[in-house]
Amino acid sequence: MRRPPRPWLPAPLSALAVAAAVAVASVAGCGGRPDVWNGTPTPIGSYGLTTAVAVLDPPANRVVLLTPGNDQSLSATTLPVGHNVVSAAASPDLGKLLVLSAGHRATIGDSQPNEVPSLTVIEPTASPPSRRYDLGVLSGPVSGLAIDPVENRFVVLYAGTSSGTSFVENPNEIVIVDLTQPPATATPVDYTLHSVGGSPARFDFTRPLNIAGFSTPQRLLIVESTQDLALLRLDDPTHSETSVPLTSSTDTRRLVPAGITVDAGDPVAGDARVGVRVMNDSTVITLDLTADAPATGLSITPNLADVGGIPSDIAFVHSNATTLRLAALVPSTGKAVLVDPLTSLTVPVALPGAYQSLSLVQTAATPATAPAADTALLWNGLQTADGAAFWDLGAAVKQPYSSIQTIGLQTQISGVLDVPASSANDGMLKVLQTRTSSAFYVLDLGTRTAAPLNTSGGDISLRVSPLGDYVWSFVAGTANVAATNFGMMHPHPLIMERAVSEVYEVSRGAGVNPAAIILHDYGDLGATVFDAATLDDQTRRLYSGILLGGL
Amino acid sequence: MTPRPHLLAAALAAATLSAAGTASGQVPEVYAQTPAPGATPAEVPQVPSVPSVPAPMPGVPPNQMPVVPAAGYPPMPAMPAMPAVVEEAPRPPRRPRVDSWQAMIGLRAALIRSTGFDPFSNQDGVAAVALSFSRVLLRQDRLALALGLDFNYGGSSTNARGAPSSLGLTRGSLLIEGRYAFAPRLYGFLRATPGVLYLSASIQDPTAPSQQIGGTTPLTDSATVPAVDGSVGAAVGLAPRTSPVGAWILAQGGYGWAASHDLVLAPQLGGPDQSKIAPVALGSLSASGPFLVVSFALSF
Repeated sequence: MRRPPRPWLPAPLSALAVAAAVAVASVAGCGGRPDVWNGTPTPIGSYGLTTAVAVLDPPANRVVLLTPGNDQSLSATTLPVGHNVVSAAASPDLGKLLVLSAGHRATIGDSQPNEVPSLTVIEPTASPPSRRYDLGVLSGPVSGLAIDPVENRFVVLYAGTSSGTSFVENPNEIVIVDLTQPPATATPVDYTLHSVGGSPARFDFTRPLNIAGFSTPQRLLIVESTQDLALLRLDDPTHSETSVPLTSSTDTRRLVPAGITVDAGDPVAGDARVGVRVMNDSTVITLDLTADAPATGLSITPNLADVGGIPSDIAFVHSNATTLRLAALVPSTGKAVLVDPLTSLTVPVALPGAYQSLSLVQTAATPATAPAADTALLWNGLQTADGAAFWDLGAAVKQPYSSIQTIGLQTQISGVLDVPASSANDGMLKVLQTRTSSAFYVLDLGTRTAAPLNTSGGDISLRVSPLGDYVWSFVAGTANVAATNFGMMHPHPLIMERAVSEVYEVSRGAGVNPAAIILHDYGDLGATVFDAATLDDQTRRLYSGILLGGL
Repeated sequence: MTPRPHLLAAALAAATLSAAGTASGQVPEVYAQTPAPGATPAEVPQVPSVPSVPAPMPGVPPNQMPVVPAAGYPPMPAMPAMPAVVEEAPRPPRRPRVDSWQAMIGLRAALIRSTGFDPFSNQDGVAAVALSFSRVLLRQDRLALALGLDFNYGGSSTNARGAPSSLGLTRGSLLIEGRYAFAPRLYGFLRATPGVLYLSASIQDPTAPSQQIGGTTPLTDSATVPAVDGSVGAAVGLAPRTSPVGAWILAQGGYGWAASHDLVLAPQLGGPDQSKIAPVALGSLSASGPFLVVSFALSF
C-alpha cells in the first residue's frame, strides 16, 4: 500500500516558507533585468577594421569595439546602434563599420519608443567613434547596403533581397548618404530610379572618369538591375540619371547584366567607357560616355560585339600605352576575346584552359612597376589541371598579345587575394586560394612562381594581413591556425585552446607591433590575442565572455 | 489587563450563585447531606412524592390560579452549592517573558536593483536563509537591549546570455537589537547589523579556457565588502507563558547597504597560465536594497 506523501516541511516551517515565498514574490514583482540577458548573443557578425575588431551584437543593439593595447590587452567599447539591425558592412578601406537598422514603429501601448531607420557609422579613429544618420526620408526599412570602395564616402541604401518588412515597398527607391556630411546637417538623397520593370541588383561606384563635356572627372554610380543599367553622377544623382535598357539584337529577350568594367579614359580625349557583360547572351556591350547638352546627365553610345559564348569575366586591358581592348573570357569555347571598343571588331585568343576569371595583376597605369602592356592572371578554370596562367597583353608579331604562360598548379584556383606592399614583400605577391582547400599558393608576380603551402585539413580560410606581413590560414570550428610570413614563407602554427571562427590582424599604432585577434564565436565570445610580430605563445592572452560586459 | 473569558464567566457564575443562596436561606438538609459511603438505597433520605395537582378553582382560569405550596410539600430548594468560590487575589501586572537568549532562523527576501546583478537573476530579488543568535544584556521595564550575531546565506542562479551563472551572498554581522514589549507575547524591535558581505560570482562561459583539454573553467570573482542592515520588526509569541522555551514568529523589514564591488570575472587556472588569462568586466554590483525577513525564533 502506498504511503501518503509526507509533508516536505513540518507545519510551522511550511507556514514560514509560505510567508517567505509571499515576501519573495512581492519583491520579485518589483522588476526584472533587461531582455538581452535572457537570450543568447548569436548571431553575431565580426568585422576587422584597421585599428580594431568590431563585433555586432544585434540582441543588445550595439557594436562592441575590441581595441588591442599593450601586452595583448583588449579593451571592449560598447557603441549603441539602432534597433533591429538588418545589415552591416565594413568599408573597403577598413576604416569604418556601417550598420543599417530598421528602427522601431511603436504601436499603442508600446513601451519602446518610436525610432526611425538609421545608419550608424563606427569609425574607431574618429572622435566620437560613432555617429548616427537618421533616415526619416525612407518610406520603409531597407536592408541593402552598398559602400563606395574608391573614396569610402558614399553609401547607397536600397531594398535589397532580405528586407521583407514592408507591406509595399519600392525596389527602385534608393537613398544616397554622403558620409563626409555630419549627421546633424546631412541631407540623404532619396531617389527612385527610372525602371522598365527591373529592380537593382548591384551598385558599382566608379573612380573618376574622364568624360567629354565635363570640365572635371566625374564619379558615377552604375546600377545593375535585373534588365537594365542606370548611370548617375554622384555629384548630382537626382538630375543625372541615364537609363540603358538592355535588349538582344536578335530577339525580344531582356538581357540581364552580369558585371561591368570601367575604363577611366584619357584626360584629354575624355573617352571613358563602360563595358557590360550579360548573363544570358554572348553579346558584350561597350558604352561610350559623353556629357549631354546641358552637361548634367550623360549621353551614351552603345556598341555591341558577339564574343561567341556567354562571357564569364571582362576587363579593359591595354596592349600598349594607347591601345585599349575589352577582354572577355569565354570558358565554353576555352578562349578569350579581345574587342575593339571603337569598331567592335573581335579577336579570339585560344587559352590553355577554360578560365572563368581574370585579374589584372600588372597594369600599364602603374609604370613604376609594370611594363607598358597589362598582364592578366587567368584563373578559376573549369578543369582541375587548368591551374592559372599569366596573359601578357603586349603586342607581338601576328598575334594581339605577347604570351600566355601557365603556372603548373594541378588544382583549380578559386580566389586571388591581394597582398599589400610591406617590408616583407614588394607588392608583387598574390595569394591563390584553391577549390579543394588542401593547399594554397603564394604567387610572386615578379618571378612568376607559385609557392605551395599544403594544409592537413580542408575548408581552409585565408586572410591576408592588411599590413602585408602574413597570410593567416585557419579552419573554422577547429583549433588549427597558422601564420605564414611573406618574407620567409615560414608557417608558424599557433597554440590555440579553443575553436577558431575568425582571424584579424589589427594595427596598434606606429612603432608598435600589430596584434592578431583570433575570435572564438560561441558562448559569449572569446578571443585570443597575440603579438602579430613575435607570435609568442607565452605572451598571448585569452579572453572569455566578451559579450557579457558593457551591458 | 482584561481577564480571560473563561475566568470571567466562572467569576460571574460564582457571584450569581452566591447571591441566590443568600436569598433562599439555608440549604435544605436533604441537599446538604451527603450520602454516607456504603449506604444502601433504603438508608438514603427519600424525597417526598409530588402531590397531585389541586383541583381548579371555580371562575378562575387555570393559568391565574395562585400557586400555593401543597401541604407536606417541601419548600423550593436552593440551587446546589457550587464549589467554594475563592475571590481572586489581585493579579500582579502581566510581565513579558524574561528570556535572555534567542535563536532565530528565517527567510530573507531582498531587492537588488544594481545592473551588476542582472547576469545572476531573472528578477531583482534574492532569497537568503537568515540565522541569528542573540542575548539580552540590558532590560528596563518593557525595554530590552540584545546583542548577538547575524548570518545570512543566499544567492541566485540563472543564465546570463545563455551561460549558467550564479551569485552567492553571505553576510556576517554583529546584531544590535532594541526591543519593546507591548504585551507578554508581542514585542517590536529595531535592529542594526553592521558586518561584512562576501559575494562570489560565477559564470560558466564555454569560451573560458581550461587546463583540461576540451573543458572549461568558470569565470569567477569574489569579494568581501562592508555591509550594514537596519530594520524594524515585530515578534508574536506562540508558546504559553508557562513554557520553559518561548516560540516566536518574527517579521521585519528594512534596508541593507553594502559597498559596491566592480565585478571582474576570470577563470582561475593558477600557476603560470594565470598570466595568460584576461578577465571580463561586468560592471559594478551593489547588493544594497530593501529587504523583508520572516523568521521563527526560540527564546529561553
